[in-house]
Amino acid sequence: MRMPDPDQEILGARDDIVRDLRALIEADRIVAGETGTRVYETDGLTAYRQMPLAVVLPETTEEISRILAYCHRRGVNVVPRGGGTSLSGGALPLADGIVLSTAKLNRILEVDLPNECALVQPGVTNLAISEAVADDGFYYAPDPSSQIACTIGGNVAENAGGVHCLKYGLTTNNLMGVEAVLITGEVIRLGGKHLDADAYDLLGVITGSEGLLCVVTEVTVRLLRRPQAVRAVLAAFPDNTQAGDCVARIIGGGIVPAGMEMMDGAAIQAAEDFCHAGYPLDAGALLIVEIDGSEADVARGIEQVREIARSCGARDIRESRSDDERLRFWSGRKNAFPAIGRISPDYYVMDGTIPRRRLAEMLRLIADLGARYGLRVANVFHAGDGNLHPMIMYDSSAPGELERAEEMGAEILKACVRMGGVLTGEHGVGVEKRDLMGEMFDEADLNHQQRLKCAFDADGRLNPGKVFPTLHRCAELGRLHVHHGEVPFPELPRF
Amino acid sequence: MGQRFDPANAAELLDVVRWALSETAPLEVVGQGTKRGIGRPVEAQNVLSAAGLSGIAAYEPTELYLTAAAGTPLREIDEALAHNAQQLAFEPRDLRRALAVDGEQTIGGVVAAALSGPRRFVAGAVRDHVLGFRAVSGRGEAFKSGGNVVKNVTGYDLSKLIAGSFGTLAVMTEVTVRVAPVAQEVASLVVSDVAAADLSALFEPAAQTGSASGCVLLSSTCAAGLDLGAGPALVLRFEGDNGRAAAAEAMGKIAGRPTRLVEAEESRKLWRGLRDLQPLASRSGSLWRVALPRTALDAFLATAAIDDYLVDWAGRQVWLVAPSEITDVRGALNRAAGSDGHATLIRADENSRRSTSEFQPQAAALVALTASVRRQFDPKGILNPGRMGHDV
Repeated sequence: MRMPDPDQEILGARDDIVRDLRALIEADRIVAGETGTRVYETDGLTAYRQMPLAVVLPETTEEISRILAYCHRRGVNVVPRGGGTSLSGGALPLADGIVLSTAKLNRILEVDLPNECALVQPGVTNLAISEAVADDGFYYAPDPSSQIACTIGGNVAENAGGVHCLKYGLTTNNLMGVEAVLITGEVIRLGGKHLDADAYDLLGVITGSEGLLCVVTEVTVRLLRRPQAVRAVLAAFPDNTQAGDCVARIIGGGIVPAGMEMMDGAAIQAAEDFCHAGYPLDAGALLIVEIDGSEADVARGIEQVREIARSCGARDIRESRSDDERLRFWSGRKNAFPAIGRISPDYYVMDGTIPRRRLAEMLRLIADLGARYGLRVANVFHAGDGNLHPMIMYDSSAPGELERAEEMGAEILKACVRMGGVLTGEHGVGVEKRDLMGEMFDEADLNHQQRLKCAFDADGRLNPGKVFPTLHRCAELGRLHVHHGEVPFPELPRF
Repeated sequence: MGQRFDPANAAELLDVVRWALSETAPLEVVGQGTKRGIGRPVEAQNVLSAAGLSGIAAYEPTELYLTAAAGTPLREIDEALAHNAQQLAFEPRDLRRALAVDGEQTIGGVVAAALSGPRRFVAGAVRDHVLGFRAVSGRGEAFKSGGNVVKNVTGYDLSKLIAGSFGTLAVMTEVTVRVAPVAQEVASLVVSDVAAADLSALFEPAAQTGSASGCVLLSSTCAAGLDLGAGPALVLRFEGDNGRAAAAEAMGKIAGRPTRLVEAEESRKLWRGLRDLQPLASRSGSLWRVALPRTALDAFLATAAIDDYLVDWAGRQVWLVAPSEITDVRGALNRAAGSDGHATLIRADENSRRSTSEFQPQAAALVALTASVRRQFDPKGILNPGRMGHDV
């Protein structure tokens, strides 16, 4: 993966820049030494590493504003970082850029239950929000598997998902407002405790912009009431095709589960060895279907799911009788990544989305690719919304294996696009899928996206080298190509 | 004298925009023109209608999405969905009566105006249901964004930007929306003789059922217009496998007030009326839409002191008709909610439209950013210039 060539002038001026930064905020919150910056050299995508110019740990919006205005003036690149759990390299540092960590902005500023929202700083972890309001019977819906460590600021940047997106949406569907700082240092406020934008929905485009548009300094999240009842069904199938059919028939039957997850044989085995969730080891595929709502709705939904699963050939169908048991059903799925980490020195998680009806076909293709590349693969899916997480196992100490794993991953993602899906469902493009963007978008599509970037950050200081395969200068993108004197289809009726 | 263009397909539409760009001839962009009255009058001689781009291109009930040309009548989409017991969950408002216009709503217009209906506070807004689109920007280039699937974070989410942009960034040629199953049962509960201050407390038992998908408070005049009894009325909707039982359960918990259960088709009809602001449609005066934190509602209604209002989204959105010159709606909002909220003038006579800013005035940094976004997509200002404000 080629990153933009570092600016030699900036590299040479490192000591001056660090000195300038130390004058802007308390000196001990600028980390510049080798030992101090080492922990920031990578994120959840550990195959890529890069030491940053320096790391800054501001404590207030005002400090972030000062830092960004300085970087804008001085021409220094900025890589924003939340919990550092990105699986696409969103927080991968740049040699000529500083890492701006939001770790010290970690307070819940206000819980406002009458307005069903909470105002939090970006460094608050995803899970901490739900925990803060649990006793009042509320929660924050998006629940990425990394929720104990990932931060809400990072969730906004990546438009993070989780297992309950099917019914409750991604981060973007659960935000009410943000305060953000532009690269110029200007502070903007979008939304608040009311619903929906008054003009352009800039909150909507900032969400999922992967740190390329602005730095979010406060977030107003929507809180939901915990449903009256939640139960889950665990259904074991002989093979993937039957489980895939079952998924399509549940959705086709008008049921909207709170979550619907699928695991293949390899993932079941690894998860069971890791956390003893009680999964049937002879199953070729497992479905976890969670239904929530009123007692009556849940009872009926669970019965429908059981019936469909039975008719699709499920051999073993269990229903959670307590919350503990329901959480045990989930524990294997939620620990699938570390479980694979235990049986393979390294693994590479993919994140494409495909139309649900093609799940079984995609699984066959992944198995074929695994055989061709000589790599083991375990699969977990957010099956309800067609979001795949194949985990390709490799050994980075074996020459060529990482490259083979990446090549195989790219094949899978290209197949996702061919099948009518997309490159990334929730992990983001980052550096990882940057060079595959051309599979999904043509030049005009990408240029229009970059023009949005130009409106926010014309010099391209925020997180350069991520998302876009080719970096165009804004002046070049701004040029208009017009031809005078052409009359559009003169044969058309007009008056 | 301006020209009117009615391209039949995306290629022809692209030609029209390129011509307008080369001649710097601004275009008023419309579908069938049913929302022309919303926003500032457009400063353009020529009209570009996307109504000729019509037809459902793809509808996959089990994949829960539908793709249609931007000019496809909403009615056609609703009919196709109804065949499969599906719907657009964001329940787009139909303001044709309120705006006194004819013609069909098109899906492109629905997305461009982003008028989410009563289910918004539980099911999401228009913008939450747009999965992708194709469009021609003011740069005379065709482009696309998004896809057919819900779980998608590939590139910037321009669907959010296009929804509610009133044709000022690009002309949509095709839209892909998320579709959802229709609930098995629907029932409503009408509580009469309530006060605005009671809204939260009265909504609470409904919220606890987990099936509440509508909560509208009507002023006395509006309640009377719908024959819902004397005094302000609260209308609650319950949808789900057990919608009727949920309504009955909530009714049991609301003591000391006249309540009435409205079921099935009668309930659906009632909610179509509420969605389309039927009780406000024929009232004369300026029609405003206000978004605010629900805790600011009482103070807002008390300060604004208006007779004709409909409060939707369990207290978060107010539609009101105010005598044009008398009511300072934004002043009342500001006193009740500070800067947390916005008021949009949806319908007014020409004079009021020219003397009042239709959209909520924004902070300077946002004005500049908004104008900059606009310039990136439409550098010469040829698409609906002025529609959303002087710079937009």
